[in-house]
Amino acid sequence: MEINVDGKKLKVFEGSTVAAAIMSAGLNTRISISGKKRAPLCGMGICHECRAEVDGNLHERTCMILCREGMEVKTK
Amino acid sequence: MKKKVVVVGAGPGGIAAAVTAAENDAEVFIIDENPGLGGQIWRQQLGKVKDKNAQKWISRLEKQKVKFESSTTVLGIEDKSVLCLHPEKGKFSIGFDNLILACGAKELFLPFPGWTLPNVLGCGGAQAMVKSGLDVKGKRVVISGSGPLLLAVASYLKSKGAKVLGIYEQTESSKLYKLTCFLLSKFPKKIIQGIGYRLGLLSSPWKKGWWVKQANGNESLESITVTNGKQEKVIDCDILACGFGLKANLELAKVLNCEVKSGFISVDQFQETSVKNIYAVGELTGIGGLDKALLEGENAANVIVGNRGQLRPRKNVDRFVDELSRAFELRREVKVLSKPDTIFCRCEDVEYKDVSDSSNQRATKLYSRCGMGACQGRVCSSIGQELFGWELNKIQSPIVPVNVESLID
Repeated sequence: MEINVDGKKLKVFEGSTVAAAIMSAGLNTRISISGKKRAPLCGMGICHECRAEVDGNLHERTCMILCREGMEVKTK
Repeated sequence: MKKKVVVVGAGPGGIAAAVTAAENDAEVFIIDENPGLGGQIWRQQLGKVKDKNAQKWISRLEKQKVKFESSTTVLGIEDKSVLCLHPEKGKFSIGFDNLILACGAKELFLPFPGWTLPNVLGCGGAQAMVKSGLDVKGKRVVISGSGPLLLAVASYLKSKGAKVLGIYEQTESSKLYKLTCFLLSKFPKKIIQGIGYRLGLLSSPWKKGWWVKQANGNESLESITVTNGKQEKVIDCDILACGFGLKANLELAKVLNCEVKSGFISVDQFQETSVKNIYAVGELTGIGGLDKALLEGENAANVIVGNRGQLRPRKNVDRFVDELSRAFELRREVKVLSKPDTIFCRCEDVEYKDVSDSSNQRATKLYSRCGMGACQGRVCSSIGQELFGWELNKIQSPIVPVNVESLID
């Protein structure tokens, strides 16, 4: 399965969450309000560090969303 | 008329409650934010349930007409109905006669310099991410923090190809020894399980009375500094999995005005909270793991369907909860690791120096925005409770931030 993250194609396992796909690719998920890179912390929908834009929806918790073929994800 | 039972949370406690209620002819709904059944301890591995016990329970659930509302966020509760939000279905509500809260627990994180760097994860957090597809093959991983989760997670990550460089448990060996003696007499299976984990990890040092002092790196984690208060060691690593135990997810209980004492929902011997027809099971009533959650889930459902005679005895469950919390009590040193400029509230980048002299969360929030970001204080208010004795703030629905348009009918 493939998803697009910031215009890059990523190969992902079926059943993988978007957060795991982003992290496996060595990418971060968001930039903090003081400009620092952030990535998932809790992995279970609590901390909101993994939020990104998924198929046009802003601020989605990517650890709670499964990858779907052709999904468009934007970090930052 | 069939009794309508709604269960919030599809971990072991919620599943046991839903199965028991449905097998006794109730109309049952079970709601979870995750796409799959299982919660955290039975979290599916890339969509598959691996645990035998979990498979058994889930197949019992599937034999019943239980409606599983997956990927569904509970926003709040109003007039005997649960307000839900689903990414495609939008907003909807489910009415109930009886509500069973089985919302589980979250990890406690404690701030230290560098804890906001990418690749610093929770301990359960790292396991959840790997089960959800994070590739750790060949990665150098250090496990730290406190609690029985550390060995279990180390063992799991190793089975997925990670190089476990060490396990650093903040509690002293003497406390672990006492816990071991208790478990040997009352719960020998847990010791066997622990030995199994340890035998698989013999090449990784397991240090007691050690903790991570700081995480180092520029844009991402490069190394960590561990200490036992006397010696220090720098370890180069790719991932740090660090969690300091579990805290009950109390948001819904607070919205419902259920009585909460010392971080847990008060329940009677029938799992009923201080609010009539609202029940709580599992980690919400005390951190006791899988067996406690299953027992309480079954018991709550049996009470609701009128089988009070069939309640399973608690035996040593409450003693287990107490012994665990005593053994893994946090030492003072891990609560004072922050520097003045260490981030305290990760959502709003509020620094430690802006909150450290406050004994009042509400005041802190008003002048620093601490706890006002996306997670709504789920991370930093637990830290404040541990470090400064903050009282949990009042909570209103929606209990998670949502787009305004999704709330409009």
